[in-house]
Amino acid sequence: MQLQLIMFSSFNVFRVGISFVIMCIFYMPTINSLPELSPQKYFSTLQPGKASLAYFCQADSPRTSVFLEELNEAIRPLQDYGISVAKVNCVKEEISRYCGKEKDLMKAYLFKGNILLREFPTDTLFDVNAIVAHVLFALLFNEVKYITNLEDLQNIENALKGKANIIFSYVRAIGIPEHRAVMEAAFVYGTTYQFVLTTEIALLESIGYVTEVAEDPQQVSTVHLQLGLPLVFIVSQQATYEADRRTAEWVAWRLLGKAGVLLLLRDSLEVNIPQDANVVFKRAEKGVPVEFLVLHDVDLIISHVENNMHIEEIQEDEDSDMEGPDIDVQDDEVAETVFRDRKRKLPLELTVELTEETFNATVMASDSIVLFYAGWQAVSMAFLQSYIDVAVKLKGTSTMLLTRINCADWSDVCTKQNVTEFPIVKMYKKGKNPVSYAGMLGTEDLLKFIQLNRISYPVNITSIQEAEEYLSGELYKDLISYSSVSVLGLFSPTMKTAKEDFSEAGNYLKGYVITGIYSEEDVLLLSTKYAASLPALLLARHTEGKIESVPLASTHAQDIVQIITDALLEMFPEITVENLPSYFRLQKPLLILFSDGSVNPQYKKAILTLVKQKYLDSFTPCWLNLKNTPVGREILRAYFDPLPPLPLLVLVNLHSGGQVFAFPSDQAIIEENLVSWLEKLEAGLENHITILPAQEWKPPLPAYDFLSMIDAATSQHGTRKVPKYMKETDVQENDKEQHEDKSAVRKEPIETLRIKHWNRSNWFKEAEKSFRRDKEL
Amino acid sequence: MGLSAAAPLWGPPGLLLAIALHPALSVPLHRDYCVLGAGPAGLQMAYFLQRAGRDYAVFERAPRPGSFFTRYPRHRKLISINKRYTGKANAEFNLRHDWNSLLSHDPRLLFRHYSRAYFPDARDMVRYLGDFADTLGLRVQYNTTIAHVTLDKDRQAWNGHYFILTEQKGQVHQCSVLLVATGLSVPNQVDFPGSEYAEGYESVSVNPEDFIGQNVLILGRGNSAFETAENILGVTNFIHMLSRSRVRLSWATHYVGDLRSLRLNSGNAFGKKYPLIRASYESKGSRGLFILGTASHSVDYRKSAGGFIHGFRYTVRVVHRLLEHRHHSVTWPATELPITQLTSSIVRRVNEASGLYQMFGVLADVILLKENSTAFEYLEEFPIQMLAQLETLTGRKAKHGLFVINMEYGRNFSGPDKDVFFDDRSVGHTEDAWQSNFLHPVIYYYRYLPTEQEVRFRPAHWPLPRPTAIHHIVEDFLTDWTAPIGHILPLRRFLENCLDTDLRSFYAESCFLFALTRQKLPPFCQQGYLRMQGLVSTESLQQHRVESRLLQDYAPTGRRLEDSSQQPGDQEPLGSPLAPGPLTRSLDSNKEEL
Repeated sequence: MQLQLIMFSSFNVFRVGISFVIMCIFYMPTINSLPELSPQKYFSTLQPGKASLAYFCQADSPRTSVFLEELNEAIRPLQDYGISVAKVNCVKEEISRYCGKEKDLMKAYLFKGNILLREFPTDTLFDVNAIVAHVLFALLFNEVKYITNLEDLQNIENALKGKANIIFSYVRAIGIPEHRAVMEAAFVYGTTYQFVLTTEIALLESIGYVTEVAEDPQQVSTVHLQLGLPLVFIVSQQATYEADRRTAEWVAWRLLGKAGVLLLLRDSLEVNIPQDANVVFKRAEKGVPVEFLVLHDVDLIISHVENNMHIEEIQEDEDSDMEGPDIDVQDDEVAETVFRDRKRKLPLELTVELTEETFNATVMASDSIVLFYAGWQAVSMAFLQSYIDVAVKLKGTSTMLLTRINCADWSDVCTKQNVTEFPIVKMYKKGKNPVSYAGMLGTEDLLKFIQLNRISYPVNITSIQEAEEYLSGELYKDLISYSSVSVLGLFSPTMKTAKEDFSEAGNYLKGYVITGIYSEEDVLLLSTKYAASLPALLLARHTEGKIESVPLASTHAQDIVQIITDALLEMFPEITVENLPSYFRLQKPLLILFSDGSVNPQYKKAILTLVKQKYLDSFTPCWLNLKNTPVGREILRAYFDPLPPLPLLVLVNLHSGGQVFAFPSDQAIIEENLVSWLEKLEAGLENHITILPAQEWKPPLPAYDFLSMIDAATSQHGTRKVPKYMKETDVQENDKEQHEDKSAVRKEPIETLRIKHWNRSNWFKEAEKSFRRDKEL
Repeated sequence: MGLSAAAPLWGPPGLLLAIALHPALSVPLHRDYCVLGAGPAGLQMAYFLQRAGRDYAVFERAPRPGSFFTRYPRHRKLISINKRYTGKANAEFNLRHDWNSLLSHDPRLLFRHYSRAYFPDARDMVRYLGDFADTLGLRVQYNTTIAHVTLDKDRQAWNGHYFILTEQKGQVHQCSVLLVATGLSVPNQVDFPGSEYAEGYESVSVNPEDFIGQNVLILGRGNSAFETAENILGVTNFIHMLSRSRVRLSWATHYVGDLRSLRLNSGNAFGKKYPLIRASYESKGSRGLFILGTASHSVDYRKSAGGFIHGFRYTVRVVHRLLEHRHHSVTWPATELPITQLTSSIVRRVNEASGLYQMFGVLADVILLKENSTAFEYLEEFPIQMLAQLETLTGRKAKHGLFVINMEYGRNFSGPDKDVFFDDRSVGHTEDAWQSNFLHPVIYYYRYLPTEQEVRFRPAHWPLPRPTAIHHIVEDFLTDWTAPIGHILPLRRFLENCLDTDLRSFYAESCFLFALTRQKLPPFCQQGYLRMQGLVSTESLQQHRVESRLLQDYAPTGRRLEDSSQQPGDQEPLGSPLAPGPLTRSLDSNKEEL
């Protein structure tokens, strides 16, 4: 059991109140007036379990009084706790026992259902705070125990030891705003904590906040440290014990809720502390050494503590915000990383910075790559780094000029080049239309694009020997590391349209794959050798040393592009961040073998065999090397819990359903086992290990709801009576008045109205909470 | 053709146009577009018509363009600023500080090449306008006074009638569209006992010696009154200035027609008699008749800059775009972009656009969302009072919601006699952005295009009807709205919440992770990574990525992804990938540049 003392300016308490008020402003604008009923009518409206506060008064009593005004004020807050309020007019015809005989003996009564809980003389309900406090106090009889002496407290402590936490609160009097705050807190947290309330200051003092210790302050730990509060040790010795104890009590009282205070008995202490130190300060953070201080004034101790817990306070403030992550904190990884990296100097001089004056002259004079970016845009600036990396790699070797233009400065140039989004990379070659780069925004792919564009495509091959060199990779030895496949189109000299279409396709694919064309008279020699009937494509896979032929049934450029891009796909590729999109596009479930390092050749062989036997036609088989693609571990953690040993073979149904199936890790990855697993899968006999979440990507955090803030400010203004028409002579005065008024309003509501909620969902949540409480009442 | 059609062309008298019933005698020459007046507005219109390859002619009384400036302002100093150096290269941005140039594609035709003075001499304006017309080869007929304008009803005509213009010499022109850019050159007539002794601004002597030792009473306290007073201040006994209203200083009202400085002043002494026109600058009386330039100022009188070159060069372009759609089926120019570019496209415009800035509250950018909000069309500088008619006026569809980007001053700020230098007048915190006082961007979101009723009966002091949601980008003294945390982040959050999606950008590696662990991908990954255009991080950025804790370190810690939904309001489990970690950065980082 822990005994906690709370200060009643707590954020939590008021937050609840504030959001209720706001909710009411916008959603229940009509429930403001006090209903006036006859006794009979009133009792007929009472609902079982519902609490209701009624003020009985003589029909002929004045219609307004201070009490009625306060009662009117209380309607809204009480409504939030599900308590209705009414004024009952006692009329002669209906005599009710609640109707007093004399005007000044009128009382308010609290009912739950039709059972009377409490009666209140109107003078106890002296204002809105008193009304709310008293009503809740009556309703929360069990949740808030009122005590007057230490014995009561000890009884409660003993009863709850090991069962629940106690919140002990002291207020100066019943019915004051602090009391109301406690009651409102108890309303929300009454089921979680036992509230104990007293108005006896003697009780508070007798509890004693000061513990005596005689151990090394470095080792002492109390609940305060767990709560993130520091500890203050008042160093004492036999001779001055009484005085030190009083000082400690006083300090403890002043630091209530801010720090723990202990009396450190120097005489019985085993460790040495500096002779002159009279105060020891221990911060809440772990591992920070204690400070030995010489402070001769209680105020110095207080200010030392308060000055040194500042950081803590801020954090506490954030915690009590209860809104989770702060919307003013960056949660865009690109923006955040670029911001963090903004001070690093890039070797920008390796690229030529263009301006309005130099742009045209530069791109006309030499083959250039232009990066269009915007200095304020994070994605642009992230890519600029890769771009500079390309420049570093190409330094002194390329004929292509690497340039860049900041569209934040040279907007018109960018618009004229048809650049409306950032970043964009374009290649300008003499006498040709500029080409937009459409690959990954990264060093490797852009480098590949630039390198492959050293020659123009398709390459015109003029002899059989040259064709063979082309296919073997000899012809463009330095380029094949950028394009693992070389494509050669074979056409007879008469196939004009087919050749044009192929040229178009080759041009389209320039920078991504090497293409060549052969259409000499002796083309048949090649077509015979590679068993390809014209027109055809020969695909030379340099890494595997294989040459395949693909017939060209359709010769539309678009289809040829498609055939070539499909041909670039491998049968059992290593899946990487860069190549996943090309396989993802196929819309088939992925069969992924996760491997810690290179794939075991036997597994590879087994899967390739299945591929050849057409077992895997409806899947995309691939493998993932965790050494090359470390993010794979995060993927595995999403699939498995706990993570079995590698390698792991999983089937991920990405495009329909999101189920993940795992090949039993106790089975060997051999053909027979795979086949039987796949058959079971097909028959629906395998259970998935997990289903990937299908949530939409919603806004990560709410936005500022300026519309509501404007409304709130306007409605505040609206309550003042502003004359509808202004006379000429009034203008000046009114102007002034409004101005002053505005500056006054400016300060206040903004502080209280920092509503960060966009959706009202949070308000609804709060409302729900209160409705749930209703039921319990 | 008749009296009824011609008479109500303009309510108030005072334009130089006389309308008569003379039937045409000579054979009319047909023009699709006739422009009256070769002042700045007329030439600006001619430029757009010429670029679009339209059939047009400009008629000008005088032998050269800009004849107004040969006589006015009487003391020869223009009050329009000519700030030649702004510290920025952005040509569009620089137009915010260049109040004299007309719009063209030719950078040589910028006023800063014509004058070095901050308040230039009127003679330089005359020279500039002459060059503008000549260099661009605009088709202007000088020395041509149009004596009569009549309407000729004809069902074949674009607008149901032709405008018949008769020259003084008798030549007749038949015009499908009439664009009046004649300015306001008839002075206010005063009428009170003794008014016969008054000297008008248009004829008052500019020689101070004529006023030596006299007591002078100046009626009016506008720019012309002060201009005149300043000129004779040194030689007179007393100068009294009398006016119906108190002095309005433009730094208090943000209205450039109000006194801009107690020392420099001129122009604008003529009446407040503007023709009745719509927010599309078309006459309420006759379809096909448009008012351009100074005379069109009734649309934004006392609010924005529509009565001045730096304002009407944009409103003239609006009229041209409306005409291009109405008569040539050319839809209002727009850029279509993927939704991932939404935040950037707004940031770009609010930081550089001049038309939005000069014509705040009158012209606004409009973003039309495409189905499912995967893409959008960006329309620049649309007249916001015509918002309800956007579809018919532009030929674009607004079926799936729209944003309007307007520039606004704070409501507490402006107004005569208000102390514009009051304490706390600037707002620094993002959450107080809606109280920004200086000109700042405001973004309105509507689920549906507002109706005419909603535009007409909008709340008082609102430039637009009540939106579904609103966002203010916090004011910035340098009008630089590019701070990552102070400006861009709150804007993104606003857009995300309007569209109910996640508009963050992600590195390819994150998209890869999402692709294999979730059934859906955020727009940035869909439109970039999956189309093989993912953003690859560099080594240094990757390191920051790990440190920022926005990326989970790949140490095994058990399954976490499944419950790390990114729902708004949901408390994210601590340490989930891309959940905001405990980053503590103060809001003061607003000003730190990338």
